[in-house]
Amino acid sequence: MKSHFLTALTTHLMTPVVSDAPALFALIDQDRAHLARWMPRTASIQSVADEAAFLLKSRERIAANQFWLAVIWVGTHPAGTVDLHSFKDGHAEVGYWLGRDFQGRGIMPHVLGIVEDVAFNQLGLNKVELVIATDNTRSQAVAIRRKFHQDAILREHLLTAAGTYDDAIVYSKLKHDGHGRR
Amino acid sequence: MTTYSVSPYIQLKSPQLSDAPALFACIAADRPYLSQWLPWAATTRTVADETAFLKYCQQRIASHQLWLTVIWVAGRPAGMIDLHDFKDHHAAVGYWLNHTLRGQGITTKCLATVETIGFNTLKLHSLNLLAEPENHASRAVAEHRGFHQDGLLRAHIPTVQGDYRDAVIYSKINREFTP
Repeated sequence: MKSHFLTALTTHLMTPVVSDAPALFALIDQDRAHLARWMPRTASIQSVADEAAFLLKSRERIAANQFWLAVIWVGTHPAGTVDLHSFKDGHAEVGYWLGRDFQGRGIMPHVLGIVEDVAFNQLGLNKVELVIATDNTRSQAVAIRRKFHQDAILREHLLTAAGTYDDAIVYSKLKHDGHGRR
Repeated sequence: MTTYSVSPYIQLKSPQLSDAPALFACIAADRPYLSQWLPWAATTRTVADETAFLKYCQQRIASHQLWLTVIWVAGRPAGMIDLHDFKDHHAAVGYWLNHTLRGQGITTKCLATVETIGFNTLKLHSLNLLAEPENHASRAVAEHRGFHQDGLLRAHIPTVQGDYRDAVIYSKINREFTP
């Protein structure tokens, strides 16, 4: 998959289905150590069945309007997921991860642009937030590429798999901030 | 019913439906001021509305999604203080107090008690607190208690008018806590 033409492949977002579980599990399992650093949920995904259960639970929460989740497809391959969670008072938080071979290719800024469009124009949100550990510079680059505004640094806010706490930068984008898809 | 003593004349008590008339009277008497910061003050129009809210609180408390007490001053319900949005061993503090009692350090004393409960009983790692930039009374409480200003969340709190106001976000970490 790691080839120069990867970014030329169409990136699109699809509603999660249980049959995505094997491909998503393989991506998580392949990059477990790195993903677990920023995504504590990684530790609870030890089998395809765990990921399938997560996707099923996600579909229930999406149906209840508590959650929004899409599978990121690059060409014909699932590449990761992106979600909106913690809906409250006209805002929600974005979460995302990409498999190792799909990182560093500009896929995530493109995906985030699509998610902003969903949040503001389909879900009627006024603001989307990104809460990113201060050491997660790769994820911060995505926020900066999409012209998110740095609002705050929350001290010792994110619980890590190791039981310690990471400081977190809160980024925001408002519906009226503008900045189109690209 | 649990009661926490803050001072000889201030207690924090778990919410009872019978508190509704006194709490509603506080809200009704101070509606324009409270509504500036707390949109629910505009929509709490009857004692029954407040009773329904107290019922909702009791359910959320029973399912461990909320910690909330009624602030009693000199034998009467006078406000509320709570912990909500529990996640990753942190929670957010919320409070309001009857306007005739403000400016006497009562909420600051109550917050000190809630910090003790949050850090020592609930074993939280940190507490957050949101206040609108112009809500000087609320910010003074946070600052008197030594909360650290972490930033300004844009368009974070909805208003009665249907737009959004910014919120200053404060935090305190367990090791920074002294009663």
